[in-house]
Amino acid sequence: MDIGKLTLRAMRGMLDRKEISAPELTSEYIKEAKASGHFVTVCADEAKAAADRAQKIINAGRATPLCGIPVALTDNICTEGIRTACGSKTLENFTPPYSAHVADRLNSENAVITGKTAIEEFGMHGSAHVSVFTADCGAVTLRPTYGRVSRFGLAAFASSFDQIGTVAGNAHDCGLLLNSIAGFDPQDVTTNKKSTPDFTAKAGQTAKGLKIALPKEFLEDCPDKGLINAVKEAAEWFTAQGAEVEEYSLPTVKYAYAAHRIISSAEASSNMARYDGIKFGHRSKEDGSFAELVRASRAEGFGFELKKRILLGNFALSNNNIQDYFFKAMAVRQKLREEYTALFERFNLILCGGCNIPSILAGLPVISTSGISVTGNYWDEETIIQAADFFERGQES
Amino acid sequence: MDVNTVKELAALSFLNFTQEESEKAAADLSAEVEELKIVKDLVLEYAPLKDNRGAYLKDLREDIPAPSMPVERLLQNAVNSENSFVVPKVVE
Repeated sequence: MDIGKLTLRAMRGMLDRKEISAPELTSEYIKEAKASGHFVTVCADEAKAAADRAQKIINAGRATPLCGIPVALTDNICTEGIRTACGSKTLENFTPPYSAHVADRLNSENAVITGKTAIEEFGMHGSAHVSVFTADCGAVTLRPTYGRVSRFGLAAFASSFDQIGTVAGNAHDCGLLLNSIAGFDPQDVTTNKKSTPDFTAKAGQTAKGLKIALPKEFLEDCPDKGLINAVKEAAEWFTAQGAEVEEYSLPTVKYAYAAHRIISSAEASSNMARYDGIKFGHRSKEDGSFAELVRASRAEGFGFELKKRILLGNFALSNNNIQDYFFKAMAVRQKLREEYTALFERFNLILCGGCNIPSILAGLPVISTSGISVTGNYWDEETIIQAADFFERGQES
Repeated sequence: MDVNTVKELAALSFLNFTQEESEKAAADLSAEVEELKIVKDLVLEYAPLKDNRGAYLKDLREDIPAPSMPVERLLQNAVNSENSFVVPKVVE
């Protein structure tokens, strides 16, 4: 069985029809996980026990959408009793005494957590995901609105950007995963109390009547001509399907990359301060003063790229630079949010390409699929899933 | 950003860098700061009161004592947690 090609819905159907049992599905997934090279920890025993429990619930006819479905978490999401190293030497021996809110939610749904996937050190480029399969290509990534999913138990890196998202084989499955992990959590005051809808409610609909903005600055300034062409082709396709697509200017977007880099580095330098080898993290064996011990522990525990991010963050926060860099970057973010708010008074979606840093800077929900990215208004994940799902189905036919 | 600035920032950040690392970091960060300068001259003012309006700071949960996590579990990552944990010997 090629597990990487099975959608979550296909797995659900197979489990419910008893074509495969949860332990069998988990066993296949574990084999795939071990062979993939993407996992830093595979929890074969814990997964088997969870699959056995899930199978009893399936047999009793009480399965919820993720019951018995194998999932993986990035290695910066805490899992009680399972090593969570964040891709860093400083936490290489850390086994959390508690689980992240999302891990608890998945366990309560009887999903089967199979292990932890590799990330760059502390997920430096914003990677924190619940994923449903391990395949490299064809992965669809959904980053929800900031505040939609609790960050409790996610190792902090850049706190105002840290957001747990979902990765799956298609947009609908990303929505199903999000259904399980989204919602208010009193342990994270940035989570929103808005009711959590069924994020897949609009999947299966067409794009007719959707108003889609095409950012002028992306079309004019993106250095990747292949990406621009892919987005233009997608825009033509959406137009042919009855959507209204129009170019729209977001003047502040050209400052978004710098602002994101400055704010995320500043926040990282602050969050990384706790790893001193005394309270948290790797402790050097070098003798010396308190300051020497902390310096040696951090020097040994952090990778070079992370150390540079810390330096950059402290550069931006230093007395000489805080007004020119950090507060200017924060002002850029506010201005960008205003521009997006004005845009969403006229449009439902933004069609773009690449990793979409401006959307991330503003905290908007964004989904990346089939070479394009679709951004929606705050708290409107349903419509980005609708558009991405429709686009995926169009690509298949 | 020159090597001396890197060394100064490294000291502030409680990080050790070798001379070779300092030179590499200076070269990399110089290029990066050059790109970040784009925000310096913008005529924009940050308004802190506009941020974090969605946070529920006035709506906190009841302050009711709950069972604590077992001490053994809290100390499971501490060095040598045999009824105590080891702190580094520091001589100032």
